[in-house]
Amino acid sequence: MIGAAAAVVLSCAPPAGVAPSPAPACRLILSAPTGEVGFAAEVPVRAAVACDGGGPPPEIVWDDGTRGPERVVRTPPLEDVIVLRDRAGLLPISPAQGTVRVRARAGGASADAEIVAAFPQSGVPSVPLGVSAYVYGGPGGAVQRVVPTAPETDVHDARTGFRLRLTAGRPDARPQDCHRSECHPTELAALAATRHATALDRALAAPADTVAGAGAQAAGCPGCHASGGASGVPGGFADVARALGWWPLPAYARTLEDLPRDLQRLSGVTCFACHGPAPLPEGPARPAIWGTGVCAQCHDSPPRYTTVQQWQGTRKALLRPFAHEPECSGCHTAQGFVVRLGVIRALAPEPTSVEPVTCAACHDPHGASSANPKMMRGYDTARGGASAVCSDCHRADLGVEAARRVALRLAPMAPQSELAPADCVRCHAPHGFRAAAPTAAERETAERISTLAERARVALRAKLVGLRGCNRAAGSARDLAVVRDRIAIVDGQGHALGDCDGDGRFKEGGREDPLVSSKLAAAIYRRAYDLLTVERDRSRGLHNPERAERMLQAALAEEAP
Amino acid sequence: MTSRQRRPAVTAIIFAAWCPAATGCRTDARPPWRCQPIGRGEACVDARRLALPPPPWTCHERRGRLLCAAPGAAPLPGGAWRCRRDGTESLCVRDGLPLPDRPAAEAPGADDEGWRCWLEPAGGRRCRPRAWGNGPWRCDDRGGCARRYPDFPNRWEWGCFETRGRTICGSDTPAPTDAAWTCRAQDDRMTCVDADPDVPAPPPARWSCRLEAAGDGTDVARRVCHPDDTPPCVQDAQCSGGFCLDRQCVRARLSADEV
Repeated sequence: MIGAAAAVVLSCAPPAGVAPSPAPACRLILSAPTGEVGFAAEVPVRAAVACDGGGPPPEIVWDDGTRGPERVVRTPPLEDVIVLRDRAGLLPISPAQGTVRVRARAGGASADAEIVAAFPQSGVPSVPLGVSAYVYGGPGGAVQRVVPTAPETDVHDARTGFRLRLTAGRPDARPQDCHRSECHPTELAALAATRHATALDRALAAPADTVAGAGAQAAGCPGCHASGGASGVPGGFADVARALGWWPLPAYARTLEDLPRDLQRLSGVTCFACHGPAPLPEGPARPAIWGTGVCAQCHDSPPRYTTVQQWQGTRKALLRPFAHEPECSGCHTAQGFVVRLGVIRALAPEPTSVEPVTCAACHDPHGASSANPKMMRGYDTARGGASAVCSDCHRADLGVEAARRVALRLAPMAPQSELAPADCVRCHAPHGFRAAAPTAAERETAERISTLAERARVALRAKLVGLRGCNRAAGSARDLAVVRDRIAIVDGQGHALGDCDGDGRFKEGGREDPLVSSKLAAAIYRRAYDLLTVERDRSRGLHNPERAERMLQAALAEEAP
Repeated sequence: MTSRQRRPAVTAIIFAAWCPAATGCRTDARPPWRCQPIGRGEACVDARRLALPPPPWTCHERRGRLLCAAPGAAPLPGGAWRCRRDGTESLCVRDGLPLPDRPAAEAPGADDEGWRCWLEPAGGRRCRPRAWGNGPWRCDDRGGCARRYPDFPNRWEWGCFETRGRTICGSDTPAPTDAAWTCRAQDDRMTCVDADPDVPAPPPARWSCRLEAAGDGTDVARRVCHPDDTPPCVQDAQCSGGFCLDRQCVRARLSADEV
């Protein structure tokens, strides 16, 4: 849907931390099409400038270097901004993917415009009526653009056989009584404690000369501070505000109670912002709620909101082929992780719907952990506060008691909390997870520990010379490695010597021993475990240099006659 | 908690923007009204205490009139009141309540709807534009009109019906309600009555209205009105338990109790 008339579009967010500058002598107004213009579309954006004191109008300069009162903006092709996974379904679309921002400057004034190729979509097939939804039929299939005009729309990809039923509705038509005692009172009570619930209240209350305060009144902002708020979504906050004659919001509207009922109903990030403005989708499509697309509707809108972009560059965003398997899903999938934490008891991660470690793995939008500032699951001030959630998986023993760990030859998978202080987020950016670059002294320490670790590994290798195992396809022993979740002796090709049938797994209670024999295991398991703890900690000992050195020195000392 | 207990809090919420000059917001004194921006228009208060008949009389305002009711044969007020006894009730009406003189709202067409006023529990009256916070009326060529985003007691979910010129709504969500509605809470259920609901055009036009809540996910609640084709009344005697006002029977009693 494209608005017929050009409209003023202003960006809601100056760069973070930058207060709006004093009013310039010139005023610059950009006019751009409202509503969705589609991917790979060309649209004109016009600029008009008026300055105090008369004289010739200053030249208008666009952010791509072009000059003049008009610029043609091309929205990107869909395939340039959305990576098609090997999974069919409704494609999530974030503002970063579906919106193009342009800026113009003239006479000391600047203005921004947003061109919307497609409104944000969560990936949950409960979608706004009248808004484009892009459905991918899976590998070999096509991406179909669908604009639902009825409460239910069936989409079919003839090439792959994929079928999806989209439920569609208007945000303003949804009942707001999810909190009824027979429905979801617990979730609503928890949600009320979050910053999501007060997203609009806080923006309204912020002084007008701050970014937040200016944002509350700006065109793009209700998209995230209210439900269904994107400016052109039928029945969304902005649409209703226009219908009521309340758009833009009057500057003196500083509390929610200053707004009419029907705007209050849509304020904040409540149920339908994530679950969709229509009835819940059919069962197989529901796990999409665990996807990052739900949060990316707002938290992927750079330059101000970069959370999802940071996450995408991390290993947490990778869905490993083994992730859905029972022994892996607890730390490699969002669904498995919440089961591991005991948030949900029965939720079997399926290969077709499992999600990697997404936002919802660590953040609790409406549960027992919603009251802390970042809605962190497992928040515990005694265990590093928000960092407590990290240590549930980033621990050497993974919660397995010692005797069983030894018996199974379990490896320390992600043992950071063995060495690191509890408050991970003090050094690691919460969503990019990278720590600051080490200092020169730290680099020196890291090199010393790395050298020590290499010596310990060489010493362990020396114990394996000439060893053969029950796996006839494997050669003689070369090294120790982590195979699945076990410490195993491997040949030069990485084949585990103790994997008798060569299937890549070690059967419990049988004759398959990852360390080939009990006698050898007794000699090297503890040392290998400590070495791998230091190695797989991946900080090169910097999380706790003294402890890392002690562990490695002990391993080497055992080697001495 | 009763609706009477709720009222002060409700008033505080609805008119939270009613601020002293020290806070920098604009107030406009045009005696006896003090007005302040609200939405695209302004809301006004006349703090003078109205001369109302004492309890057990209960009164409400409807389009510039006071309607009062009392059980039994209560002493009737004198002066400008028009009274009658109907069965077990005493009923009175008085015309001519003043309204603020400024345009009610800046929104296009909003002035046509005029003011919506109600009595304050502590005395005095408050008025706001009828168009405030509601969608515009859309009329078809058959004379029917509909308004999306009509008036409700608060932001939550309500089931409503219309009877004798009043809107009566019920909800399972106990929450503060709009001061323009008369509400009563009982057993976790809230019942509210709007004695003066909005219509597409003021009297002498007569309307028959209902609130619709579409359940198909494609539409929102709306108030639908059609010209009232029932025979108009000409005298109070034709209106059991009420008055004939503007050729339409109107109840004098606000009967959340009867719901």
